[in-house]
Amino acid sequence: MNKIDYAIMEIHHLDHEAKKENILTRINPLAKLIITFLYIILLTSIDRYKPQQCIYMCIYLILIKIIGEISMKKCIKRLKVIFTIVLVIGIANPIINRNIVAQIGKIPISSGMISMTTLMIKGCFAIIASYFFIITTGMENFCVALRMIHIPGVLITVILLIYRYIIVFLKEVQRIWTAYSMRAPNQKGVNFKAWGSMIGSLMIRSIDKAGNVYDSMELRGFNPDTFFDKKNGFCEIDLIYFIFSAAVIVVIRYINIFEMIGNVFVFQ
Amino acid sequence: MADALVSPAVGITMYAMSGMAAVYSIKKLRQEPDFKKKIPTMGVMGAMVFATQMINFTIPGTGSSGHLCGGILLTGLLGPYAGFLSMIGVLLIQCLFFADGGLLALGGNIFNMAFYGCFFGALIWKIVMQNGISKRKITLYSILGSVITLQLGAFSVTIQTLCSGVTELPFKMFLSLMLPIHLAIGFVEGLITMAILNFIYAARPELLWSDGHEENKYIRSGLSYKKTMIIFTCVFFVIAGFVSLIASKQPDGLEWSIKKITGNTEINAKTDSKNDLDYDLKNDVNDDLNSSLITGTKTDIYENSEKIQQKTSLLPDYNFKNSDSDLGTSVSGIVGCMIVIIFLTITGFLIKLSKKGKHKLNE
Amino acid sequence: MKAEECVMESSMLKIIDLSFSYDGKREVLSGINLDIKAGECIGLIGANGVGKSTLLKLIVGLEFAKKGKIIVNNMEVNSKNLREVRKNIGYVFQDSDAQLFMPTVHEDVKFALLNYGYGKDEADQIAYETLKKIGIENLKDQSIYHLSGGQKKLVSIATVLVLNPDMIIFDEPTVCLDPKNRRKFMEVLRSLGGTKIVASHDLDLIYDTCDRSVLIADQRIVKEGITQKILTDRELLENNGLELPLSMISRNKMSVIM
Repeated sequence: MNKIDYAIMEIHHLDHEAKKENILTRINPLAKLIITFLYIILLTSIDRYKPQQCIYMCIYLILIKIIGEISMKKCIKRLKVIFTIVLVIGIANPIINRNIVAQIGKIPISSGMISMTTLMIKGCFAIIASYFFIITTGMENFCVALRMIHIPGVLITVILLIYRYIIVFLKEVQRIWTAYSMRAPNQKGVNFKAWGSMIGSLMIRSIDKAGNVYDSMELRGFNPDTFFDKKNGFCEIDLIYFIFSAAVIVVIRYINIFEMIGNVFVFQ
Repeated sequence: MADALVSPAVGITMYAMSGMAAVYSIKKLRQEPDFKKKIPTMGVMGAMVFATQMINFTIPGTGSSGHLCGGILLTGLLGPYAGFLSMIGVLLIQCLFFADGGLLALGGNIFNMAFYGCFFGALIWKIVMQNGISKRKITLYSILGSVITLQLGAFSVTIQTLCSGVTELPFKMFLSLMLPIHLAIGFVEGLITMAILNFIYAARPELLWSDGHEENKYIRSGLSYKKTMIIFTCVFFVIAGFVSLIASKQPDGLEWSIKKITGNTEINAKTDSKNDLDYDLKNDVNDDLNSSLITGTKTDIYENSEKIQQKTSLLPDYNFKNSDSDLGTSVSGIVGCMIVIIFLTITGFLIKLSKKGKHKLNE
Repeated sequence: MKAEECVMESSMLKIIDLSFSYDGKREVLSGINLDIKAGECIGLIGANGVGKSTLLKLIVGLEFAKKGKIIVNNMEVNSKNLREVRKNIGYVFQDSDAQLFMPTVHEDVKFALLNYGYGKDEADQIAYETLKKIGIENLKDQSIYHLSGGQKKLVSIATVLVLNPDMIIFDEPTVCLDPKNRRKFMEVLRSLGGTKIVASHDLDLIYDTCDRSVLIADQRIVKEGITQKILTDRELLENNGLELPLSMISRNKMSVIM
């Protein structure tokens, strides 16, 4: 199943990227998390009839891309998922709201179309922003950030364990699926009769295995309440990053800086 | 739910609700005697749900396929608290690593999928399994649970999307689209859950939740559980009621609260949202108006809509009154933005080039 | 003999009248008494499912017995001093996948160090030295998902060796290893100092590495003594669901042919 291959590759890719050494990966994960959250909040708070303001928000993303030297290739693929979801909800807007507000050439533009465009842009940018966050942070550091805002260690352990086990299971599911499809060549999915036994037996096996993993963690001194308490407070570079990014986001959101620049070129 | 489909106010409210449920779950989980032994199982179950979501299950009789959401399954194996926490993990990883959902929408997604699936699921489990577990009861629980919790989830997705003001779909129509789709999805999920739970029941019944031999403890915990469920439901309905009240009677109430958070002071947004929400509510009136718009020829579209606006002042008036100046600013804005983008791209390119040059010099 | 020299040394592990059951009804172990001196290499043998793994789990405090005592290095194993006890014992799991969960080899090896409060640089150094000791420093930055079975086993030994434990426990260490990796593992095993307990039904391994052996069957210790004596006693082994080590059989056959 291609989906599984894709998922495995994606996790490896993100793990690999997060280990790269550059300015962004070294910054305190919590600072990055807060900035990303701020960006998404300011982005989604944009009015639905203002696509141009959404477009301005891309400046932050471009900045991060340049500073973090992030490749966009993998990111494009993730946009597909979000596009379909947003499209399902958004497609209704141009159908229902046909109130014409402008005309480009001979094509009338309705406010429904505008609000749909805004929705699509918001969807893409939000996804890119969180992609940039995780690709420069990685799962471990993300967990450290969660611990810094006092999320209980138990929950973080569960999250990290799920993340660890996912690859193991994806591979296991892939093996089972291969074995299954070799004996059932003309089936697109798994037959009804095999649902329970296929997943159920995998589950039972895994529970025993998982107990062992956790035992081995405990034997090596693991304690969910203290493990993620790593001492990395805010240092200068984190502060600079934080203030700089927050300033950029707020400026591009609230100050019509682009109109000022544009006016110089357009209306002279 | 994606980030684009929720407004900050709705997103943060849902974070608060899910957060409350999570804090409560952790507290409850810690009270269980062997909770540390449950941690690895929670991890495995979460990962399993994640991995099985990748498998397409063929639905007998039709050519289509469905997959798993997981809340009901996890509750049947781990109980509501542990199940809820593992679902949080699954949704978080999906949102961060596979762009399924979004950071802001995560709170809502946890609530719509995990909260209903686990907490309401547990309630259904308790009712169905009152006098012991059997194969038939598991089937009943799986299908009933999946259908009910998915309907609830779909219902709150509808409310959250409407409160966020991103869609122009009227409430009833949106709901009538969402519920039937999720009825089908819920049924399929129920079938898959049933198959898995029944297999585990046959092979290792002790892995299922709330073992029969602790009957006394079971009843005691059931009482406190009921209480909490009532509290949670009340809280939810109070908030939902409050939100819908604001939305209907004072249409700009929501926007106002967003503004309070973000400090947005634009007036246009205010009038817009007011009109749109009115529009949603009084869509009956609008149907007539819309049909008149559709039948109108191109030349009198402007006239038509302007007339309608004057008559009813129901439709969004953005860009109408002073459309020229408004359009002008957005054009220059976009031009300005483009210039900055080009500037940044060139700078980035130059930085890359200089780095490469350095590398070569070093070599 | 090495075992005789060790008798003079202090006791590392003492098990007194230990009984255990998982469900409170069926006993998995009953009336176990065992005394292991520091520096010994003990083979724990028995057929599948006689409670070898359970005994090992009890020693490191993953399970607690209702009856009996386990004393490691003069400390009784109970829920209070678990941390201290576990720091002194390394446990190599049967399934290496269970042991390795951090993304890279290096991170996995230093996991325990960080948990026990070592500084980051110190942990890095100790981890590297440990890898070097076993001869797998070239795997340092490998992802654990890309290791072969033999490599995984060696890495999991490294993960427990970093804490420099007084005693290391191996649960079925040679399962899933090919002959070459098995040989490599045995070399590593011999080079390690300290007390070692090897639980296995790979009797050739026990024969080659352990001074003393303990035979478990029917929930209790059937026989305890010098490895050469136990592993050549065909009747004893076969009565308890085991067979002579292959090397013994082939030696016997050789003598028949000759």
